[in-house]
Formats: sequence, structure tokens, C-alpha cells
Amino acid sequence: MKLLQKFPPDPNIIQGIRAGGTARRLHENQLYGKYAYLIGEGTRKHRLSEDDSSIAYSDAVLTVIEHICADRFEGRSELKTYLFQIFNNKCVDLTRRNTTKKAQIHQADGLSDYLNLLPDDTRTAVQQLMHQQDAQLLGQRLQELGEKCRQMLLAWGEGYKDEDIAQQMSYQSAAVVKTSRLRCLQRLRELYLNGR
Amino acid sequence: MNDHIEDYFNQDLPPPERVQFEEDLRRNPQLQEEVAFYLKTKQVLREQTLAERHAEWQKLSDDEEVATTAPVRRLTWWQYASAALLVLAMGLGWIWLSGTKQVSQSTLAQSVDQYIGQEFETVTMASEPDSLEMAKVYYNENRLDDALAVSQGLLKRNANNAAALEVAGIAAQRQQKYDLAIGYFQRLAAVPDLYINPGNFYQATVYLKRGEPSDLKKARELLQKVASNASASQKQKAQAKEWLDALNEIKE
Repeated sequence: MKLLQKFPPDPNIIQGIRAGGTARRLHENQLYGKYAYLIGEGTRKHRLSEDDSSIAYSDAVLTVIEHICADRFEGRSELKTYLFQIFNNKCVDLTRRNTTKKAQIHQADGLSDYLNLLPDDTRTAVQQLMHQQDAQLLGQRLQELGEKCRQMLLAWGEGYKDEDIAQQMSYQSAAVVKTSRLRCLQRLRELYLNGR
Repeated sequence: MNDHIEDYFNQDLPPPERVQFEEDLRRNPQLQEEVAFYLKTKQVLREQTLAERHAEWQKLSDDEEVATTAPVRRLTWWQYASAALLVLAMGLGWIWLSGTKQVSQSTLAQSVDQYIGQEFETVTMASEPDSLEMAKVYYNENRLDDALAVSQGLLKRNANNAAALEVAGIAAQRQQKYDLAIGYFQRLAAVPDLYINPGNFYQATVYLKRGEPSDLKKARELLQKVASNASASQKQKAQAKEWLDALNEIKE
């Protein structure tokens, strides 16, 4: 018997996320809801608190969404297996962070991928500069940017492509979005440097 | 901000420009600082996104929780009286109908038996053991009483647990506890926001199996709903149409 389907099949969810536009958010929520029972796994297996396990799960879902959008999820494993592996790693990261109290070892997903692109002899210097930069102040300055700039940067941070941002925010083209976005980044940097 | 930073990380720079960018990065502390700022901003945006999405998802989960644990509204005396009269009328109606003609429907009942035999033989399980999975294990082992008991336990905690309603209804139907099965399937049909809700279809199978005159009318209405429901499963729609055709051939 085919069991009750509260959520659509995985291929539909993947397709919906890749399609972008307004459907993307709906399918992202479906992905979150479909496997939310894994949160219990985090509390049982990794002995995390409910809150920690829940945030590790949200983090894992966000990572899977990013991978789907960037075509890094190639469908070699089932979506559930893929999500579970990432969630497991997030739980291990969180446990390690909680026990060592070293927040800096917990780097946002994708950041290490970017750092690995840098030549070996520059990576450490860039990492050190990043550690010196004040994330809290940067977050505050982000709030001080105009609403449009902030929205655009957040959408970019969420992995939306410039084409999608253009569609959502009624810009003429992806190229215009890119130019505006880089200008917003520059304005954010000036705000940050002036306020430091 | 250096225009090449984003192209570098997106791996869009042609090889000569890439080499030049890396060379500049080694020698130029200003560029190093800009690259660090670019990555730090990405990191902060990712954290903000996570915080926002997490809060949004938590709210969605909470809303579902609220919907399933909504307080029961107390009824007034006249509502109790109306319900009692309705039950009495239904009872009298049933006695009257069952005392009249008995429709020949053995072919249809056999078709339903065949469907139940094929489709309800086992239930698909997820990999994680929990109470619902235990109910399915019991069902698959033909321990229908146990499957029913575990499902009922789940329904005490969450009366709108669609999967538990489904297992409970099927287990009751297999035990020929038709009234009980209809009750569960009616509740399943009323669960909102299911991607595919088989409640009406399952109710129809019970009515067809029981096969009393008023049952066939109810089955017909339910099957018509399934057949015209755009979001019903294709398989169930096709089966509903087949049974509707069979129902039309039964002489009143």
C-alpha cells in the first residue's frame, strides 16, 4: 500500500527549489517539514539539546538547499540520505563547539570551500584578517543599509542567483543586480570601516 | 571593492587573470583585506539567513502543533439534544433501510476484497523506529489488535496524526470493524493541508465492503468526490472510476 503522502516526492521538491521564484520558498518549507523528525535523532544520538539539534537541522536544510541551487547535489544518493549526512556533520560540529568552546572552528558551510580556492600562501593571512573583523559590528552595519540593499544582500547570502533576485525585486536584468549588489557591498564596507 | 573578487570565487576568471589575481593577492594587503571582508560578509549573511529561516521554520512547526492541540469547544444543551436526535434519526433510518431491499453487490465486494488484499497487505515503513513504525510492524505481522492499539495511543497525543489515522482505519477495516474504520477515515478526510488525502477513498472502500443500501449511496458520493479531485492519487482516481462504473451497473 502506498502510504499517506503529506509531502511531495523528493524529485518534486528538488525541482521546485531549482525552479526558483515564489515556488522555491514553498518547496524549501516542504523539505524542512518532510524530514524534521531527524531533530529527534540529534537529541538521541548526539545528546544535543532540542534547541541545538533543531538549529543543526535548519542549518543542514539550508546547506542542502544551497547545494541543490548550485547543482552540487547530483542525485547520486537519496535526498534524505544526503540531508542526514550533512545533519550528522552539523551535529558533530555543534558537539565539538560546545565541548571545546572554540567558536572559530565552526565555520559557516561553504566558507571553507571558498577558503580552499585561495593559494596556500595567502589563505592563512586572509583567515587571520577575517578573525580580526567584527562580525557583530558587520551585522549591525547591515541593518543600517537601505532596505533594498539589505534585501538584495540577504537574498544573495541565501544562495539566490542574480536572475532570481532580478525577478523578485523587479530589476531589469541579472547584470543590473550584480552591479547594484557589488555597490551595496562596497557601501557596507565603507559603513563598517567608518564605524570601527 | 575589487571587481575580480567575486569572479575569482565563482571561478569565472580566465586562467591568465586568475594567476594575476593570485599574484596581486600575495603582494597587496589591501586586496587581502577586501577578500577577507567579502568572505566575512558572506559568513555573516549566512548566519543571518540561518537565524531568520530557523525562526520561520520553528513558527511553522509551532503553528502545526497549535492546530493539532486546539482546545475542545464545550457544547450547549441544545447542541447535545440536536446531536442525540440526529443519532436517533440515523438509527431509525438504518433500521428502515436494512429492512428493505438488499442490493446485490457481491461482484463489487469481491473487487474491494481484491483491492484490499493487494493494497493493504503490507504498509511501507520509514527507516526510523518510532511508535508509528511499531504500529506498521504490528500491521505487517498481522497483529491487527496491536497495530490498532498503538495507533490509538498516537491519536491520543495528536488527534490529527494523519498517518496514525490511516493505519488505525486500515487495521480496523481488516478486522471488519467497519464503524470504527469509517470513523478513522472520516477524521483522516478532515485533516487539512495534506498533499494527497486518501480519507474519502478509504471510506468508500469500507462502505462498498459492508454493502448495505445506504452504504452504496455513500460510497458513490465519496467515489465521485475522489474521481473529480485534481489532487487525488492517480491510482485511486482510476480505481474510483472503475467502481463507479460497477455501481452504475448494479440494479436498484
